[in-house]
Amino acid sequence: MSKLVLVCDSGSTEKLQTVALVASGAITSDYEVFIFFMHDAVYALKKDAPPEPEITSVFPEVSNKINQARKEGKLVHWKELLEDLKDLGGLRIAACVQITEILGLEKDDLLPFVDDVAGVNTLAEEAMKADQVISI
Amino acid sequence: MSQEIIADQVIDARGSYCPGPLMELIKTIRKGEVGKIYEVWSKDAGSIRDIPKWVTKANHEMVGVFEENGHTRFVVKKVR
Repeated sequence: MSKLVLVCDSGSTEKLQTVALVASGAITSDYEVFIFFMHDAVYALKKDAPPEPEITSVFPEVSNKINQARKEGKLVHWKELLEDLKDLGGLRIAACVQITEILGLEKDDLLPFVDDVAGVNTLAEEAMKADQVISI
Repeated sequence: MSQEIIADQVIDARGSYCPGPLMELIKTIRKGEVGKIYEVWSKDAGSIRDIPKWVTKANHEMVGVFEENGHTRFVVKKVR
């Protein structure tokens, strides 16, 4: 089975949404996927994270239309999508241990679909075993 | 192929953008019974390619794809 590694180092709504969308394309195409969340993307994984900001684009019309689609439930939220993908199998999710510790968090403080709190050596190992690595 | 196929369950995903319709189908089929027929309604252009491709890859049967007024019906039989 081919393997894809996704690295997400931003907690911005659009980046998180992109990571989940790319993962969904890979999982539904039968690829194995490993997602490594770094920097403020880890904060977005907190169980009690504050409501995330709306998507912002340099083009106001784009922001308005995407945010409207989200409000209307036409776009699957990234958290819901990752939960569903976990259920399908073939997806592992890790949060960067360094940022997790800096934020004073433990694995149990993160969303249930997070499998591991791991270091960048784990990311390097997974990347070397993967067919493709995409940083988002 | 007749469009008069009676599905055991209809998934109305006309309000969802990609990958919503495909994800709804996958979730439903995983919980469903072998031999049952499922029908997804989608207005998402990506579904035209993504749903038949997944059905083939997942070794289910693509019974038919039918264009209706403003949406597409994907009829799928769970075979494993």
